[in-house]
Amino acid sequence: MVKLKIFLVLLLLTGFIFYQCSENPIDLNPDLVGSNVLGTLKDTVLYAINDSSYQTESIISTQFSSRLILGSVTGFEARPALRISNFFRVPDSATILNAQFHLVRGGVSSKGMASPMMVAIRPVLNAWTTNIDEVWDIYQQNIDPSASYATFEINPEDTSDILVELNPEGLDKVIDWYNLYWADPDSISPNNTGILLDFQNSNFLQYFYAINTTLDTTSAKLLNPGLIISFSLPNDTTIITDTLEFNFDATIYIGEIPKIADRDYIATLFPHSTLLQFDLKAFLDRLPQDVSLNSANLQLFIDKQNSLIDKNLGISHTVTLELDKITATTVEVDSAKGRFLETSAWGPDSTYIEIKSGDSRRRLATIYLQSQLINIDSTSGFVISIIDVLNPPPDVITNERNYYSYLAFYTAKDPNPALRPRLTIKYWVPPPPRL
Amino acid sequence: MKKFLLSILLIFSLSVSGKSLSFFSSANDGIGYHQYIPSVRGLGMGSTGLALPDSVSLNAYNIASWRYMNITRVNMLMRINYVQTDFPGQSFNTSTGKFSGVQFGIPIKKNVVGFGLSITPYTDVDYSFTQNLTNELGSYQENVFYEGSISRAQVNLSWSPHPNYGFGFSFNYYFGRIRDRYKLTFTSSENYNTNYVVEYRFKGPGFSTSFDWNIINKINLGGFIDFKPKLNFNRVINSPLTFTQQKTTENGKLPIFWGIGTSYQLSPRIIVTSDYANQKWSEGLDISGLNTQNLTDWYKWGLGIERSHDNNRPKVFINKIDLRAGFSLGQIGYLFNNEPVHEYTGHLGFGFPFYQNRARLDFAFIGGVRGDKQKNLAEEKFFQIFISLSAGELWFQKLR
Repeated sequence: MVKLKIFLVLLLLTGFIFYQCSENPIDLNPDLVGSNVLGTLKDTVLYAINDSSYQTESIISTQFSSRLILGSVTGFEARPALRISNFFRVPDSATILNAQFHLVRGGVSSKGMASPMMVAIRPVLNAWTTNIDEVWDIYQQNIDPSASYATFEINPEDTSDILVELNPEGLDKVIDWYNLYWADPDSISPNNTGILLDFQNSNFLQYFYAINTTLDTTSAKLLNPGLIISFSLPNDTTIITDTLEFNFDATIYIGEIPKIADRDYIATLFPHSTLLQFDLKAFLDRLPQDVSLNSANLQLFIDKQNSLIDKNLGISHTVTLELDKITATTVEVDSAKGRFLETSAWGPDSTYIEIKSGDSRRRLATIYLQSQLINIDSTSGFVISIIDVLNPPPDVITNERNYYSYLAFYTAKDPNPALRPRLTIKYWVPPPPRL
Repeated sequence: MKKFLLSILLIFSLSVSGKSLSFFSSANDGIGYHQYIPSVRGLGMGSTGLALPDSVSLNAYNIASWRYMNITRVNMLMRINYVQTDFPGQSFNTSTGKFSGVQFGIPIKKNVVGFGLSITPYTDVDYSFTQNLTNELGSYQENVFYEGSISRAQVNLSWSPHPNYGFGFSFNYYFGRIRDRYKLTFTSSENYNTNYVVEYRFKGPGFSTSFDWNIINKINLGGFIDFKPKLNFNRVINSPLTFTQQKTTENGKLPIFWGIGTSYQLSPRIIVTSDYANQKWSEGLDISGLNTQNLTDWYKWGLGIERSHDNNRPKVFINKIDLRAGFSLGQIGYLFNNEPVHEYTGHLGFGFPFYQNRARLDFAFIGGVRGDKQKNLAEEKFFQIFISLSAGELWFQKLR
């Protein structure tokens, strides 16, 4: 009995002691913590020591683009081409009475004040599938400039759909395509060569939704380019109207980005990448070995006068690692690793781009920089380029095939040091060992 | 008896939920709070016991006193530690539970030669705190954890050439690790949350000797000395930058650790004791590059009394158990705010003999004050419960 009482007393005492205990760790009054007990959060700004830019491809396919581009700006010209080959919804006994060409606008881009442009729908001479087909090497040789199926004006201020009735010559061509289809519905005739939207003078780019565009989910409106066909059937006076979607499209584009000296470039459609090299070895040599990288930011200042910045459409680019030395004659970009960082954040005053705040800055530090610092002898720098963004929403054009844009960056040798590319690295220096 | 054992198990299981031993265990250039636990019986008597004849429990320091064991013995210790830490303008409570040692002894030749093994905690570090920091680069919480311990394993031999005196010899092996852990948690996802660990590893052999002397019938004298052990010291840092392990190795020594005690038998059931133990921590670890400016000498002085149980089957419960009390004062071996930290402790103890006095359950209740809020910027009021189970069974001998 006595032992039982002792047991109970011990139990209660132990419970009381632990009830009194507070959670650890204790939030200690800062005055009680010595200055050398805690680590220090620091940052270092590195300026690029070498830089360059180069064109990675001369032209890219727009086959899976969700936008068509029409117009001209700063030496760049773009013309949409379209083919329609499926007339299944117009019976073979029908009589086509009328055809209207329909496009839905998808935005405008220009360098300055834009003025209306006249557009002509011209016949294409040879069959094609994409814009990089050989027949488009000299696009003028693949159209009949003397023929026109319709002409219309595009006003950059206007956002309404393009709806143009084809002239009799154009209607005859549609009837030809219709007959070719029903002659052999299972194959596409090489004589069905399509049309091209042509212009003579333009100082802006007009975007249209392409055949890869899906429905506008908010309005359920069909955004794809199409032909609105009116037809009648034998022994029936009813006129039936139906919209047929184009089956092929492409943006036939020519030109080059207008470069000036002492600038680095990134661009869409004429893909350019910018190489940047920072003296990470010197940075590493200055550091205690046991620091921890926490965050990093890359800032590139933009020469806006010599850039085409489409703020409405947005721009995205990525930082990837470079495999070869920056001085190598053959530069390879390690894009296969898929180490994409979003750098589409604009600086507060829109004069520079920087790594998006949040995860991207953490990843820049812990994935990109850390791996370069670990392999410091084979470290060569960063490659900045505009790349595809997977699964863009219909309203956001972020795919490099979908729009035309280029950015001119101030270089590492710019007379104004404040405009040079910079890399800010944030790191934690631990306290000295206690023992 | 089963209820007693059940209570011990319960306390053991509860003890792991607490944390933090002492703020003073976190001293720079230090290896933690120095543990000095001769026996739980001795702890109940003011941390004495070096000259306390005991045939039931085994002293962790005076191996010469193992000459009193006449059957195979095992001794297990644990403690529960409750601390209220007071800083100027701030106060908090913490607790921890620790396994505090084990001794195992076999009388090779009864009351003449004994052999055994033991593990004793040498130092203990268990302290953590957090800081919420903000500067122009960000806001973050830095959690700092100091954890670990150094222990002393011993192979012991006691030899009593004469019934009035004996000697103890031990081969010691010191081992343990102390980890300083830093965990940074940022409020913004743009920063990587850092974990950083520095580990200090110790290992190395040493030698100690002790004596036990029954000077005259009622007076005993005992003592021990741990000669400077050679330590192999490793500082290991896993670089969060390069993912490489940086390991630096040094050789060092612990200062000589010694203690002496005496006991006087006032009456057949009452004994008084007094011990003094000292280690010149101010000498440091003899490791190049380590400062000694935060170190000072460690010492403990204690005074105790015990009224032992009545062996003649008493009817009153109070006569069935051992009652102990004592007082001790000491210095923990570190300077805080450039001032030594003193410790004043009151001790109470109880011994519950069972199995015809072949075994005993000892409790020691210790309470005191460590440090001074003005001088050391921190003061700790602590309460500790020590429990030891000393068992000895005939079947141990039959097995041999």
